[in-house]
Amino acid sequence: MFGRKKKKPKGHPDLTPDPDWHPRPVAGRDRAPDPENRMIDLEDVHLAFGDLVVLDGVWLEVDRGETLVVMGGSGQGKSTILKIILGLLEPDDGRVYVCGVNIIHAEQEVLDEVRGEIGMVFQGGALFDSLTVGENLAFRLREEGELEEEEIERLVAEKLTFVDLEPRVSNLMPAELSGGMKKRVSIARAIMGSPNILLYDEPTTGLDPITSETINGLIKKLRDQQNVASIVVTHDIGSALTVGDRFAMLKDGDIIFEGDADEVMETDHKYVRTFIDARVSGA
Amino acid sequence: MATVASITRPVKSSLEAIQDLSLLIGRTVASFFRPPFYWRDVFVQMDAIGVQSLLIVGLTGIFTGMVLALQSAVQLQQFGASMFVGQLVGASVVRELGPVLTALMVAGRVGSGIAAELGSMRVGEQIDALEAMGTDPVKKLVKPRVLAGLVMLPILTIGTDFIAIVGGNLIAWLSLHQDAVTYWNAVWSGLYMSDLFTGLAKPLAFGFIITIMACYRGLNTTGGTEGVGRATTQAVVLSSVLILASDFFLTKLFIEIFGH
Repeated sequence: MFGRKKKKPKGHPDLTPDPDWHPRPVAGRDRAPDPENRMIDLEDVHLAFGDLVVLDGVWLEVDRGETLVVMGGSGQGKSTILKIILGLLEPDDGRVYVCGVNIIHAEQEVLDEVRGEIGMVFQGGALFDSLTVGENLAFRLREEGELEEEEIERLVAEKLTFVDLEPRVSNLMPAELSGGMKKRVSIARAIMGSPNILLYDEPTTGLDPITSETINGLIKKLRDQQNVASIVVTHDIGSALTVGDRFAMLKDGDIIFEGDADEVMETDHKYVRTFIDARVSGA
Repeated sequence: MATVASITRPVKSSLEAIQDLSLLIGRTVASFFRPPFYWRDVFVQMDAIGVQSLLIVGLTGIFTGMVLALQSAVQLQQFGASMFVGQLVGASVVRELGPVLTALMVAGRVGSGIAAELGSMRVGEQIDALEAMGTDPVKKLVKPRVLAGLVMLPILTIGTDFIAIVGGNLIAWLSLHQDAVTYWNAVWSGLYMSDLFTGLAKPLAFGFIITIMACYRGLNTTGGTEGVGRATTQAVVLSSVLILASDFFLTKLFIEIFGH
């Protein structure tokens, strides 16, 4: 039913959108939403861990070729949103549409197919310690078992080159890499299956300004060249303004502000203003 | 109200832990019959659990056998029954001490290693990364370890049993000047066919307990590196207690079945 195609055409090739799915317009935009281009829709998502309410009715949407930056302080649930989109966490209430498919209570087969559309760059890289860089990159394709080994090796070299790493890095172990190299390898691994959606969890945290700029450049390059829909979770306002098309501020489990770069810089919303000014002056 | 909550909260979390463990056991057993099978990972784990434990279980075996022979020689000599040393050592080792001591040593060495490895993967988001790439952590991480445990524990126990009996032989020869034929005949006469069965059935159960408890604690690690340390300790303590408790119930069951 959900057989993967090796070359993905535009649109949602392998997934049948839910008939009940009606994407809502992006906040502040006049044009009607295009279901063909809408990649992620979070509708009224609630999640609590015991007494701790993490998400309290979150609405988010991301279109193809667009980068949404989710900002907010530590512990506000930014990374939780990414885990919900990946199906690693199930919300208590609400709907999560990825390529039009509601992944809440979805069959494992559907969830696996949806995950095939997503590449995730974890905060610490999350590279498998026991595998070489090349094996890390090839992992997903080898698991799927659809490509010849030669083709996989070619793709590994291609993706390493894309993230400005030499193919010889392929033989190194993750422990031998610097923080910036780990992030780049993590990005290379995320794009191995040519996903339509990329999720970045704090991609520049802990990196020096030059390496951060390299990572920002890669995020923009992926959006511009591969037309992917991206969500970047960060509290690095400099990085956010460099890579983002739209911005959402998460506080106390809710999106308290949404807008483009100009609106962010000009907003008089007290919390957003304080957050941005503190970050800019602290940078 | 606070008092009620302080009572119900640990009960609730214990019940949740039992539920999670039962689910993991169910998923693991079901995964035995479903592809993919990571045979290379199974062999790697068989090496880690089995081959690399040979020295430690060998040392455990030889000293256990020697101590048993030494203690029983002193007692049996008083009654002029020193020819029964082999019988006592053989029966004790094959029925009880071999399986239990091997399992306890493996729980300490391997259980802690598995919990630490999976715990580090959990806090480093590597398990999330596995799932994000569509790989089931139970099939990729738990199944190979449990299968390796099921295969290697009985093999290690056979090794421990043999080395322990050889250790007893050494003491019987040095202390009692008993020849090897007398000793091994006594060993053989003290064993029933059912002992061989129970001596292998127990390690099978222990292999499952050690690996599943270690995987469970590792996969449910929270709280960073401190959490990894906690998970490792809990894995060893829980599996050691479960080994001893299940040994009692298995012994009781086998006595009911075989009559001795």
